[in-house]
Amino acid sequence: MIDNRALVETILRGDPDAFRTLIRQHQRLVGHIVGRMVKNREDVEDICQEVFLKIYRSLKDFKFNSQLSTWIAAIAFNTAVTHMQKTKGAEAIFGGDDEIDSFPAAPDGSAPDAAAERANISFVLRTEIDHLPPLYGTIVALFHLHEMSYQEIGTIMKLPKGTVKSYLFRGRRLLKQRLTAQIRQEDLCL
Amino acid sequence: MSINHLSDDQIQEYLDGLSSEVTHIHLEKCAACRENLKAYQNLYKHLQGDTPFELPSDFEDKVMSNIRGQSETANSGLLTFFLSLLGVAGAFFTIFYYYGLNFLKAAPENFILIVDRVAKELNGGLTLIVAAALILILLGIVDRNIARVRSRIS
Repeated sequence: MIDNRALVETILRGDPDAFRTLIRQHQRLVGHIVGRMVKNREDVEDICQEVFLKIYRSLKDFKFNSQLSTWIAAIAFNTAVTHMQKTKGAEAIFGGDDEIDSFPAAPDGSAPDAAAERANISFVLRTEIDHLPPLYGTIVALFHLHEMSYQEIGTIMKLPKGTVKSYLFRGRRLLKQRLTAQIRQEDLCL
Repeated sequence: MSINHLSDDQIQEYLDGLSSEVTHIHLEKCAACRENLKAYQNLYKHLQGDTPFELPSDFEDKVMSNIRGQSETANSGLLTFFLSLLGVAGAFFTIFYYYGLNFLKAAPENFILIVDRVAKELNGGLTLIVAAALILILLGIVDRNIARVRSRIS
């Protein structure tokens, strides 16, 4: 696999194929961050495109003071936050710092096949994550899907390491409680 | 005798590899905490297999097309600037060619007279060619601006 430094240098020399490689390597990360922050699915792809345009324009300023993925994730996070501030305000991002426990759970599905779907733990989990404050869902995704440390997540979100840990623990505790409430304990422990 | 069970935070710390030996020993002895641990282990497993949002397969092409579009717009901006500069220089050259430095002495009230004289001079060949070139440049600028607005709308 091509080294990130060599990849960035090749992009800066004007090779479009190198930038395609960068997109392929990081579109999952960008999609997960923006997808967790912005609930309106129609906006997510447009914001992801905006993120990669910003990356293309500002790549010359990247000095390798952090991992390339951390820098890209920070751009994705900031772009999503800016979009949310324009549309919903800062409260929508954090969900009120001390209110996570009272954050509403996902409503019960009422469609005929919804009951069958709810038997699927993954489906229930995804629905519950979508009902968490966006910041919590994003931290969970970065930690579990991208194996980032508290420190890296803190760098991306400009939050202290302890705050990241606290949000992650509270988010997971809430998810476990809600899963336990909806799914039999023995199914959850399989 | 009451047993102090592990808190949810302690169990998560254990799974994240941050816990002490004490937690490990407690888990060996306490079935209730092992049950809670299992529930968290299952949650972790599902979180690792989650797919929050997948971008479409042609996403890469769309981004590259956007980048090309932006580069063309930037180049078109430079060309427009260059053509405008050329147009202004051409206009000044024509005026100085026919009127020399006397043009600078012309007061605003004489502006209509100057326009009148330029109109008469348009009967000459060179002036006509320069004027036609200026009109073409102007049309080119208008055309590029219309194209830019169209591409933004689309």
